[in-house]
Amino acid sequence: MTDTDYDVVIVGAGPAGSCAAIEAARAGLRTLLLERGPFAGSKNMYGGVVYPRILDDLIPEWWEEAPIQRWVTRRSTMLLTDNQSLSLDFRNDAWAAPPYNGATAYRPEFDRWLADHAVAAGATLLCDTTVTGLLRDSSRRSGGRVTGVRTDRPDGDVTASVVIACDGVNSFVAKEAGLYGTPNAKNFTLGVKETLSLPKQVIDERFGVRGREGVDIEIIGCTGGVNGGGFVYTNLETIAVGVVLKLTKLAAQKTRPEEIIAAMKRHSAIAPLVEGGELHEYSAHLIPEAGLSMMPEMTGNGLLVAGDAAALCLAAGIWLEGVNFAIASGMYAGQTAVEAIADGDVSQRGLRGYARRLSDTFVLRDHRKLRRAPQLVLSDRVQHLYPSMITGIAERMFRVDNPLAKPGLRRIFHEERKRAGVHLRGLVRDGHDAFRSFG
Amino acid sequence: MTERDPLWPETSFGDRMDTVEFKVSEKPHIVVDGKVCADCSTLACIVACPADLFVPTSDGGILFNYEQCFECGTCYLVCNNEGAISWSYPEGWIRRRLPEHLMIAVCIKWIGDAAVSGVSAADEAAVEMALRHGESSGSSVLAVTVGGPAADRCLRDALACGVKTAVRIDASAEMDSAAVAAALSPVVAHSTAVWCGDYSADRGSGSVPAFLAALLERQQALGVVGVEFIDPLRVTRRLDGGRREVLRVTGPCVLSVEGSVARLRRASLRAAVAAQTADVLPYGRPPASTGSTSGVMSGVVVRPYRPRARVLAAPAGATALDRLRALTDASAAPQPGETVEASPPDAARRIIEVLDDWGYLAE
Repeated sequence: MTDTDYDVVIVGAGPAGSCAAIEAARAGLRTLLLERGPFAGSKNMYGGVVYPRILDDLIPEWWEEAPIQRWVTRRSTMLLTDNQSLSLDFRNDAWAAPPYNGATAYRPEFDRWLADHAVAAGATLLCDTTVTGLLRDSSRRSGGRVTGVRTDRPDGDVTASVVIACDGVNSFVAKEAGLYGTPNAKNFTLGVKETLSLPKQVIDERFGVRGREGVDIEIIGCTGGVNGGGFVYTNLETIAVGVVLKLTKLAAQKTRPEEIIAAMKRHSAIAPLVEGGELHEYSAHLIPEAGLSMMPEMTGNGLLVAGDAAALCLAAGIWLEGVNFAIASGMYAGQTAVEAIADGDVSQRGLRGYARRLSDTFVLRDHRKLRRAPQLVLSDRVQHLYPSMITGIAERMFRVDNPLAKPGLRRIFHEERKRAGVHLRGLVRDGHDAFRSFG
Repeated sequence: MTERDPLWPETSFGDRMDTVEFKVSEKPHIVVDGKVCADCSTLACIVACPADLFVPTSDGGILFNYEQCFECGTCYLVCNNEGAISWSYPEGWIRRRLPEHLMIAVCIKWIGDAAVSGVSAADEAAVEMALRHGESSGSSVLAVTVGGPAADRCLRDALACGVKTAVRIDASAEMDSAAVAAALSPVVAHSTAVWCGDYSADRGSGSVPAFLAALLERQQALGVVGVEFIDPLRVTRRLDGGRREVLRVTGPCVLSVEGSVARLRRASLRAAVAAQTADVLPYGRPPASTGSTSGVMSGVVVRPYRPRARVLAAPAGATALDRLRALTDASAAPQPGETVEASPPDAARRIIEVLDDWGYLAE
């Protein structure tokens, strides 16, 4: 295998790609990390929260150096109807100190930082380079093994023992390798985000935090007729506001994405948070939402798939994670490549350690456990009926209707359930599903 | 969600897309097969594309503009007609501006006096420095001035040269330097570097940059006579007795330059013309809690006009030459100008009507 240009070629210098490169390069493999943008992270659109604890082994005390914006110490889940809102708000001061929990970050900075670690470990990072196809061994004995990639540069073919595809949600590499079925719009959501600039002091006051503390607000019921959710995240001097929309509904609803954000921003519960913010960035990105049911074959002959390219994104309502799955799957792909190359077998069989690593860790255990959650969270009942029912119950509980006496909770529940059009049977079934997923 | 009265003016789609920079590949990465689209009943791509790049044509096809694509992939996923949209990763790239390295700012002083009117050589040099700084660091440039509507002139000149955004803080330019700096500070607070001229056309004290640096709590390099755009920035200051001082500038800073440091580039004819008719939009000023900004009144944002793609009917004509002529107006008589003699409100109405007719008020 020494006649290859590199031992490992990694496509895409996002978190998955950089962490795969760190593992491979640290083990002494000749590692090439290809990035389509002008620098690692330049292609990124992300307004979310990063949970980097998975980095503990790879970069000890990562929090000392990681370019994060704010440590999330407050998490809110909000239910909105047209003129009501109900929040569940949790604050934990301990999350403002090592080892922390979640953090907001500008991904162009965060990804660049991870890629720098890959370079420090000895990997070669080549930016402005698009992978246009796979090279394969045509001999019958090898079974069409992937032997490298073709790039858009002159004389751009690169051979390698193992190719790791970390090329994101639209992964053309995994598709070309035949690891995906036909993509289906119902498995995806579209995230549309605005970054609004506000002075730090104003953000601190509005969100009730100080220093590097930050807030993560997830919202249901703010996306009109399109199933989805909304979010508000605090960065140091900006806030990220956006919505995540179910593609099939968006296409059918005839409402443009930016109009849905605008409507959410005008809601009386959201407007005071975002008012006066100057638009600095508008962008959009697909999210592989369907979890386990849409994942491709993770291992090919000479090929591994990691991160969003492998649909490793957890969109389970109260847990919205992706970067940690990308980091972990990238690490495991890197480790597997090291192991397979040492054993001299980079066929699908030789790379089987990858599936084992994914399966034994949170990467697939979380997804297996929460396999029903994405569908439940985006169901019409959770999206449209339950917010109305729950805020209705809250309204009745807190309303003082003297001289009438207070109604009992049970009566309120049944009346509001009927008003919102929630059938008891559906409610019991969803409760059961939720309990099985989250319990 | 019910429609509410807007609490603030909604951002126009053009302004939204202005926040993203695109380096465009010559080769389209998305190809739309118009024949397939002609039978489409859903037109899902038109609604769903977050960059609004798909436009229906009058003959039932889809017009597509790939240059501002976010590369998200929504279109091919929602397209229900197998194969109508073929999509691959583009060779160009898009860059999102980050607030941290978002902007280089330049402050310009406009003097409207009959005797000394205009902008000083130092301020012009500052604009040029800001543009070069922006080019070398991949940031866009924000130009700010304090003054009345006449001061738009210097902003338009800056826009023509390549400044991305221009803000006029509508206040009297007669304020003292501390008040001018206080007015400027919230607008330039997010910029990494703030460039100023060392003196204005009426030879003021040159103290605004110093006040600005103090208000923003930033380092300052004033009276700069030479700049090298390397990382970190290296600037030369003039000292007494013909000596020089070379400073390395890291982090957020305020710099003022002498007029000798550079000449402002000439804007191209097209850019200059476009800047003269640039859109004037209301400027939402930052919340009052940013410090002593009591001198700030309302301002305006001046941006170059960027029309969205729109559908034109296919030209009529029997021969290719006729159709070409129809498209280019080559044989048509030039549109005659129109002199309106009416009361100012009526004249304004007529002007708006005509602009609307010509398609300049599409958004």
